[in-house]
Amino acid sequence: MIMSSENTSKNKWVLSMHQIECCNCSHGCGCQFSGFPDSDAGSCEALIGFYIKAGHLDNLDLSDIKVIFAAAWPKAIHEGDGKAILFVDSAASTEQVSAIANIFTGQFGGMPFEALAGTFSELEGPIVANISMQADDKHSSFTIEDVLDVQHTPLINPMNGEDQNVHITYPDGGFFWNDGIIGTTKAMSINHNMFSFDHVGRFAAKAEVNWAN
Amino acid sequence: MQNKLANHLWSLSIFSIIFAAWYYMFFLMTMNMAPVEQWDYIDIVLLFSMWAIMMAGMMLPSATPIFHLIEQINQKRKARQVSYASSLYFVLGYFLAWLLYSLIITLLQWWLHHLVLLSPMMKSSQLWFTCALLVLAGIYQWLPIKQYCLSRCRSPLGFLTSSWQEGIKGAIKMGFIHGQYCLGCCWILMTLLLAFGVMNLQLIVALTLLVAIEKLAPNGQIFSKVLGVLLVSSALYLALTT
Repeated sequence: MIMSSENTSKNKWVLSMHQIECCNCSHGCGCQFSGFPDSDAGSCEALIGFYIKAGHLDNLDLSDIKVIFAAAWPKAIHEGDGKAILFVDSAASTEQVSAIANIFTGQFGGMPFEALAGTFSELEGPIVANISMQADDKHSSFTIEDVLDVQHTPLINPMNGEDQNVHITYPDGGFFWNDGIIGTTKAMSINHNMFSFDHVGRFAAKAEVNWAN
Repeated sequence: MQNKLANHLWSLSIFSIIFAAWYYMFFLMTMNMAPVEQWDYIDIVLLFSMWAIMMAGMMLPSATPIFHLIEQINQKRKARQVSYASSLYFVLGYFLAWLLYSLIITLLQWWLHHLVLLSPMMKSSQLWFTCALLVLAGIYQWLPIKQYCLSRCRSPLGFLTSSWQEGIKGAIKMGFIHGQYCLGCCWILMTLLLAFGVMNLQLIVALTLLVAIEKLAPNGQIFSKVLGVLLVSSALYLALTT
């Protein structure tokens, strides 16, 4: 568990990130539209990779750090009782890891982390690991050897077999992002003692997010 | 451990509010059943409070998930010693939306009594009026605005992440906005009370359950459309058999 004392400074943070998300929903992800997962089990199991393009916590620079958030909720996210594991790339310094951990677990406030934090009953991390990550509009991927593996691939047009260019756009602001490039999962697996799953051919979205407290 | 206790306390306080409303509906609810010409302004005030308590009892249960989310955020803030506004302010804001509705429907009911569309027993006295309400309520279930509001009620997390506001005023405002979505969802369902009896307990229980299924069940949106068909069919049935 991560617990660090706050109020040492103002703890103001800003993050501008590539977000590479996928979950066990079918294409479209029920949570985006009706608040409930449309996975077979009615659960939500998600792996989300973040590449911080630019960001900081007070004076501490957080640019170019890779973060992975693995989460599993037994029912809809807002119904709570979720478990989460936070991974931070080993290239980050100790201060950066602690900053990321506090921000991502909602300790410093700010949406959406603060609302999400209320849906978890168990939280593990930050686990410092060697993360490799490619943020690409069509073929994003992130991997931690022997732990997790995610590979996005475009949806295929069933008529002619070509890659489909699909977006979900929220002109007035969305669930977590405003414009997502939609694909599907060529790989989406995690093997950890807290939870394990493996979902191929499920919902995948690549988006740009700009969050702050 | 403390977290658990705080959660229990919170659930208990919400439950108490809902319980009080239901206790009133089951045991205390009485109204002046005299013809409307003999009503006093006190009768209208009483009618308004009755509507307000009924709406609290019927609508608060299906809003408990968002109340719980807000409370989770607040408890974490409390632990961190960061400022927060009690979750009850959010509940208050939510209830304000329904208070406004109660005022409007009270006046509407009073007017309908004058038109003799409602009997002094506070139910529809005209078959066509009953059927018209059923048909309108049924059609409304299928309208984009209903589905728009319903999806927002069903997905409280997105509302919180995109529209969070700080402070007491912010909490009341957020509650009021969320309450408006629920209002957009259910206002016409509640007018069925005018058709079948404002104090009809069976209907009150049934409507509460229907609203809860629409909002909380995994396939609530499909259910809401099925309900629409059922409402229109029951209007046809009533019209043809009565």
